[in-house]
Amino acid sequence: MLSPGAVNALIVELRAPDVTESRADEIKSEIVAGHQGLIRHFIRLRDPQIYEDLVQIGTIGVLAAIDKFDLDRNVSFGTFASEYIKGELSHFYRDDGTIRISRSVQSHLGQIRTAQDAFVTQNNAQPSFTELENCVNLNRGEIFNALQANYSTHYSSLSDPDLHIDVADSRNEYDFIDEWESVRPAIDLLTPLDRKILGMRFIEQKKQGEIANELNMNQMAVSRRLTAILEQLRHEVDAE
Amino acid sequence: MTKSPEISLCVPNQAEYLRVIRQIAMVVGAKADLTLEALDEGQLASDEAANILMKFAQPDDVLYFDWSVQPGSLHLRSRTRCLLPELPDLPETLEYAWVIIQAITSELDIFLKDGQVHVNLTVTSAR
Repeated sequence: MLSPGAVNALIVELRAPDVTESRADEIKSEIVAGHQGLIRHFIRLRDPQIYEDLVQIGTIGVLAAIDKFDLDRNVSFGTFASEYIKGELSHFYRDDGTIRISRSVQSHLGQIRTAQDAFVTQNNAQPSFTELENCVNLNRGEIFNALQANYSTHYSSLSDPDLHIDVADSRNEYDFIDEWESVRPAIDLLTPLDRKILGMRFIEQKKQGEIANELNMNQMAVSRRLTAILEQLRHEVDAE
Repeated sequence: MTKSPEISLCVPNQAEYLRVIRQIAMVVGAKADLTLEALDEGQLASDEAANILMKFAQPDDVLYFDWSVQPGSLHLRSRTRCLLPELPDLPETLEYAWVIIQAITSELDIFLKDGQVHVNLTVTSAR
């Protein structure tokens, strides 16, 4: 992976008026090659038949990021490009539709979610694993698989209604200071909903169930968003 | 934290093993009959513990994990070799990761003993 300084220098050179076409191509190739690890990180569903196609789609995201990257913003190129890579992959997942969790796992996730919601409504408490297991007609392995799928679908869930929950963009609502300084650029890039969830969980110290209740979401959706958010923060640290 | 391990794991100090660590944490957490939220946070805490160990380990070191359970609680004892004579200021070194691991654990103990850094933690279902 190229250092943020090295990428910035290459982009400055790329945008110089006297750069030749061949040098411009070289620079773009170098930046793309330097972000292969990042692209591959975002390819969560490792279907070997289309894996290399997904790498190419991720590459389109990096190229778009090269065009749009604002050198004056206090954000590393890696963080900025992550959004474009995820965006391109999400478009593919949505438009092409060839990469999906199997119908059975989707159905299992739906059953778990419904059972969990019903339990919370009835008991005003989150179910334990055994209580949940007793409410769904699934074996333990099927539940594990579904939960794993829940954590790994955060980049391909554009149809997820939770992503469209509207919260006010109160950028200064939480004190993301001191300990959060190294990941501040990544926090700034989060959606208002994700920033809200991060603040509620780690500044207000609310449990996922409480957050879900306040935002009218399901606990599993909060969990999925938190997993995605923390991965983004870790990327920021790794990119430094 | 005195219960004998439900499962033990040793892995090379490489990020690609984080997925294995998370999956084992989920399976062991289910044996503790955690809620889904605690199950999720047990995975996250195990992941963060591994990341902390990785900060102090050398590239060819091995990371050791012992998970044990009690009803409603998942315990992790983890360790690796550490060449430092003493641990640095943890909140300053770990930054946001310190905030996260503190928020999701009910017990957390990070210490240096006999040339090894230890990360011991407990995640409990809050219902």
